[in-house]
Amino acid sequence: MIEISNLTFGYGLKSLLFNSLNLKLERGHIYGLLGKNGAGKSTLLKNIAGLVVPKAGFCKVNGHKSSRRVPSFLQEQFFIPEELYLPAVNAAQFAKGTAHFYPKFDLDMFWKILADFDVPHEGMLNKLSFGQQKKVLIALGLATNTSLLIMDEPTNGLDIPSKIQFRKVIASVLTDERCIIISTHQVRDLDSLIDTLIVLNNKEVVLNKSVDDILSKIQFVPASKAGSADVLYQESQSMGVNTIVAGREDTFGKVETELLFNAIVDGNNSVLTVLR
Amino acid sequence: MNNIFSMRRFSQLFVNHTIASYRMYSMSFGVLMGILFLMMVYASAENKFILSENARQMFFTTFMFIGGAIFTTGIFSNLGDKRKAIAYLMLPASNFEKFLVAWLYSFVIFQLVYVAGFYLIDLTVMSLGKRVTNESAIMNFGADFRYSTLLLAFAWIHSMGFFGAILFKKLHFIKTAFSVFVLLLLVVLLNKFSIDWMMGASVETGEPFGSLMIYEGKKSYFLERSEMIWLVPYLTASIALLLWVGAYFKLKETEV
Repeated sequence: MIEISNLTFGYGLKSLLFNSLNLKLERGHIYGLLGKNGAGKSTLLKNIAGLVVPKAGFCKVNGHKSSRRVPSFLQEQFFIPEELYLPAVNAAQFAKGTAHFYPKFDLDMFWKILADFDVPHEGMLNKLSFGQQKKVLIALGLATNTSLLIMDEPTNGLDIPSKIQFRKVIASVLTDERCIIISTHQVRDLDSLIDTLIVLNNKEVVLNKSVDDILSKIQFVPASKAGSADVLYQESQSMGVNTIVAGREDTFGKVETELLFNAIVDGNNSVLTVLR
Repeated sequence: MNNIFSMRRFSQLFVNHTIASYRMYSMSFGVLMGILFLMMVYASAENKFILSENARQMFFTTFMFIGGAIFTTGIFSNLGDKRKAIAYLMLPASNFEKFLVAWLYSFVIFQLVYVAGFYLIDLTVMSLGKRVTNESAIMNFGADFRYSTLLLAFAWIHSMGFFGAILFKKLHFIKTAFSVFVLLLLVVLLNKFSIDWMMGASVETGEPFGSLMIYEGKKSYFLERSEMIWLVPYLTASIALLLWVGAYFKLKETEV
């Protein structure tokens, strides 16, 4: 669905954020895009959304070059930026003005998600708090039913109940026809939501693996249960020392996203080597 | 699916733009008309409520050009705000449709609304004077006044404002006006030095194709403006067209 080939991009003339970046993303997945501040997460999303023009290479979504921003591409994707703008209209007017542009727009779904998020239907949207505005845009994005939904730091500004609601809503709207990309630096917000992890580090995609793939190769266990020989990475946390160990067929668990992310950006190549 | 133009998308975009902007446009128009009214009343009252057609034409043209330039340079102000720019660029309409809505509003609709507004104010001001002078309240630009000339000049100003609106992210009007001023200065200087060089003498001249005063020793010769002056309207129209096309491509390449 998304094909990024030899993408080279930078804001200045000399410094490049990406140099010949390659990436393929498929429908039916929720991708978690992780990276340190300044790693280029938002820039990669902008390249996919067509908000910037690559210096070389291309980014194609459903066969359309993103940077051309043609309507048949735009009506099949929705981008929720970190800093958003809502006009001085109420929710009904906003939905009415936007729905025409998205052939699969579901108005009932919009109202239902707004209700789930506990957002008032009346009042001007630009007068709502940042968190409420974000929920309105998330509701709108989901209701468009586009095949691609891109969210840049969607949980910023959401309170804890809203984050829980957000995870439920996102999990419920994923279909085989839809691809959802979520970028965040609050990695814990994505635990149990994403099915594929993408990690950006040093201008490269250093990891693009499904959670199942990751768990088939490494496990996340407390130090007390890890054999010293196969510990790939360890880190002191509030609950004690946690480790990443090479996969053992007799164990099952879940991906500790934060631990894995720290291991990768700390330059721990042994984890990446095992995962590759 | 037509990715260049669809009437359904275009009309929806037009409606959206109108809903989002009508408050600001109405207020801006009100301010423009208010200033125009006050200045025309003042000028009229200063001259025993007689306002010549020349003066009225001057008011009409000045306010149209300045008001139009300010309005046009702000037509893409959304692109100067990252948050608004993302919402604008991500809306599923083609670049051409977005371009056309902005062009229609700033070039066609502005003129229609401005002319209607001006006539209303002109009639009001003249009716105030009519009690004193008993002069006709009907606006008449005079036999030698042609709207096509005005339209061409407005198209030229509009095209520069339109291009500047996309080129600059902030302070669109000031930056565009400054750029145009520098550009015109360069054209005049280039014109003078190239004619000096061709004539091999000191030449007093201004705009391209204008009249010349050639100084040679103690003698001076006057040359009427060039016969090529007929080219000016075509050049003006070509420049306007080029800038409109340039603005379209600049919009296509706009990044956030």
